[in-house]
Amino acid sequence: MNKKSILVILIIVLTVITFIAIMKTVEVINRKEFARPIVYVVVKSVDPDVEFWEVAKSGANVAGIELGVDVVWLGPRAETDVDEQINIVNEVILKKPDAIVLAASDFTRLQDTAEKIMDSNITLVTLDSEVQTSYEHSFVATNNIEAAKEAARKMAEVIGEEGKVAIISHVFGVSTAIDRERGFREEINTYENIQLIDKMFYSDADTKKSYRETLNMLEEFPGIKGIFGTNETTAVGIGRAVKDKGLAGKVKVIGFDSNKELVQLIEEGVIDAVMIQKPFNMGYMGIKKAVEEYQNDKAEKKFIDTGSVLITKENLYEKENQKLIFPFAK
Amino acid sequence: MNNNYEKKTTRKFHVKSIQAVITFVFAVLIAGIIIIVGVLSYYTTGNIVKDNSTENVYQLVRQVNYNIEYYLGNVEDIALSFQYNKDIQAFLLYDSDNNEELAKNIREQLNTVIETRTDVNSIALISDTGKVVINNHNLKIKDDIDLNEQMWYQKALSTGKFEVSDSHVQNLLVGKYDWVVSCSTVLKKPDNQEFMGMLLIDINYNIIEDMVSKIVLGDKGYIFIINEEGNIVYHPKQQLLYSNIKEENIELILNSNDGNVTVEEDGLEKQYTIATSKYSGWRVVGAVYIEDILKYKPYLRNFFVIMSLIAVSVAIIIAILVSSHILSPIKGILEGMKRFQDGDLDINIKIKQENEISEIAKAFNSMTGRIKTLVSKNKEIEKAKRKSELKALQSQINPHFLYNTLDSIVWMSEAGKNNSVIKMTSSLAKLFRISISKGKEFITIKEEIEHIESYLTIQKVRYGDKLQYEIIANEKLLNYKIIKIVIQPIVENAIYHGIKKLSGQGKIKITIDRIENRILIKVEDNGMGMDRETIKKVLENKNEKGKKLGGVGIKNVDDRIKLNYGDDYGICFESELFEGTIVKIWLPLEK
Repeated sequence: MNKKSILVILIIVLTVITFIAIMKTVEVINRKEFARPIVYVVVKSVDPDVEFWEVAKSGANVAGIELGVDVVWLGPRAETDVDEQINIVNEVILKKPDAIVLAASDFTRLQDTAEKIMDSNITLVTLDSEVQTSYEHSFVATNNIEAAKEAARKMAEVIGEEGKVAIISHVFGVSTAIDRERGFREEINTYENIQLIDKMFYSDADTKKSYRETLNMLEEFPGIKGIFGTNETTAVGIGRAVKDKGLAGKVKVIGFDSNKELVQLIEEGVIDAVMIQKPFNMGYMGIKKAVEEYQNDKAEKKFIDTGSVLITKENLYEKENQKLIFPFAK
Repeated sequence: MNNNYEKKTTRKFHVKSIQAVITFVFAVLIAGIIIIVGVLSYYTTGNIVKDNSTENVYQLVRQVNYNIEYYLGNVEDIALSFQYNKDIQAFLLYDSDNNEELAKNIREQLNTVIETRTDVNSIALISDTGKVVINNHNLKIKDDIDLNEQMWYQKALSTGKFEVSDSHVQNLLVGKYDWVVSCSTVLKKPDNQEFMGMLLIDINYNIIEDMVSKIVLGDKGYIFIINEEGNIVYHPKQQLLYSNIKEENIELILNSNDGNVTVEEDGLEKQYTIATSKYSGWRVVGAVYIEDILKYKPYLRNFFVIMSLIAVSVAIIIAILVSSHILSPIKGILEGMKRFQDGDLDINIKIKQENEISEIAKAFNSMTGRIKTLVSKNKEIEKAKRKSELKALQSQINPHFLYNTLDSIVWMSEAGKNNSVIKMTSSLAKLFRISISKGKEFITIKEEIEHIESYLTIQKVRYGDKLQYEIIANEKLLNYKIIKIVIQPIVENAIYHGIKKLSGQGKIKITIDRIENRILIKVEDNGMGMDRETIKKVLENKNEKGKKLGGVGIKNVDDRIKLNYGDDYGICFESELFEGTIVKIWLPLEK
């Protein structure tokens, strides 16, 4: 091998090294600047009036900034529009995102869709409402069973641990409704002198229907001492009905989630307590868990309880609770 | 053969290793320098950027702080403008009949002030008796509320100054749950500065939030505000803090002066930049992740790594070129030396450039030249040696001498002189035996003496009493070696030129002794002697009768001595006509 051929080989090697180095740099820049991971979040409703999801969205955005990922927030306008949610998820799957966070509108009907996500090797984290599947995945939500048990204990306390109580559930078949019913039922059944009415009432997450159902219930089961409403709209309907019937304070009401009207009803003494969730934390933790899982295959898939707080007239304005009850400045 | 091969490979390896060393040192040197410079500038740039961005963050935080102070100052001005309002004084101080009218006036005045302002949520005037006027008549104070227990009320009352609360949901009004910052101030009686009433201005919390929330510090950094008690006025992750998902080291911030403090969060370095408002007691804190500030660092590092790689490659190429440039003449020299070693004496290394190495090549070339001449000279000497030795041997088988000797033997045997025949024959045999000496070049002095004795014995038979001889040798020298047949030609010369022509008795005396470190063999005769002319002829190997006598001659002896021992040794004559000749043979002392 003479000197010239060595030189030629060295120059080739040098060029290759430089080329590789440049490619590497470009790759790094691409990854950093143009290819930020994208996490799609498909929730039950993107209606800006549904405060719960708006708060969750701001939590998700905080996580997105913190973790350097883009958060795309999608969902049907109406919470009951399951078909639309399935369509949205299917469209998202085609975009091959890094992760999908899904708040299932229906426990059973989204099974195929959810399994399709995981079959496409996309990380799935379910948020707030679980989906029926045997596939292993993480679930970030309020521990609805425990929260409902606490609500039941409060109910027992306010009715003096005796009498008839009833549940008005929001949507039939939704995991949150199922869990809250179950938790409340299990806990209230531990009190000997409290009877839970067998008949189930559903508000379909509609205040007016809840109002009507409450009136029906009060007529059908006179002497009822407490009603547990499993979500915000349901609790408002119950509160209005009880107030209109002049039964405020006589029929105890415990709700789930809150809004301005519910706070006013608490202050008026119509509603005794509401269980409130932490949607901000839910949004935040959902994104965080999704990013953790797609970045690390070995990340543990688990249930993350984002917590809940029982709000009464007494702790309504406590510093820690203000942001939960009144998440937005206006 | 095997050994030879090893030597070759070793030599080759050495050249390569020199090249490797030069290349290695060169590459390491350049790479080292680049890495040191790179690392230094990497860290220097890192620190400069860190300082710069820290400074920027500090400026930003101070600006936010200033904006807030300016804004709150503005709000205080509004509050103060009501201090000397006659209607308000009247309303607060006198419980007059036209109170409703007065309240309406005040409400209108309050409303006028904030009507155009979206930043003020509400203004309320509260008398010491609990009467309240709010700018909007639609707003109602909750029945069950105790104003004296409100935080903003107590605070202003206790300090007597303009006070700013932290952010909170105002729970004063029916059906309103607005996030506000409550600014409260005590209205004092104009005469004695005593408490007259309280003015509450609720600022829309959005205003504060807007001033802070849109500021982005790096990728993840944010600004938050706490008040002097450590309560959160604004924090983008407020809910996470309350749920203990995130933590902010509030205590550290409260105990720190304005400037920077660094904390660790989830293994990341986080820097707080604090600016305190002396006015409201609020602390505006910029939280920046060092990782964020230094996010360009991987690029910089990659850049330096690439540059180092290129530089090292260039260094290696240069090193190889330089070392081969230096080593190629050395390789040429080695190549030449190897060929020389293998016997090629005609080798001449070509010199391409004049430098130190070419000096070596030149020296080598001149050395090989000299060696070449020496070798050829040596060859010639050897050749001459062989030739003269052959001559010396031939002379011993001189037919004339042999014929005379054999004639003498025949004659003696006819005369019945058996003893003489035996003596003669054995001497002749001895003479030839020593002459040949199994082909040896050197013989001991003892053998040389035997040789000359044999010769003289033979000659004695011929010349009878006319020839007398004597040999005196130093006993110690008998075992020293000299070249053979040195004395006999001299003696022969002495007989034929000195004694033969002499009418009287001829005498030859041979002495062998040591003079200093040399051997001196002296052959003296009392013959005719020689003039200079004859000596010259003898030394030039020319007898006056040509070469008929066929003797090997003095010249041959002298030549052989000189060829073997050098010019310091040889033969010299001292001769006196009709007196005799002394021939001195100088030889080295060798065992």
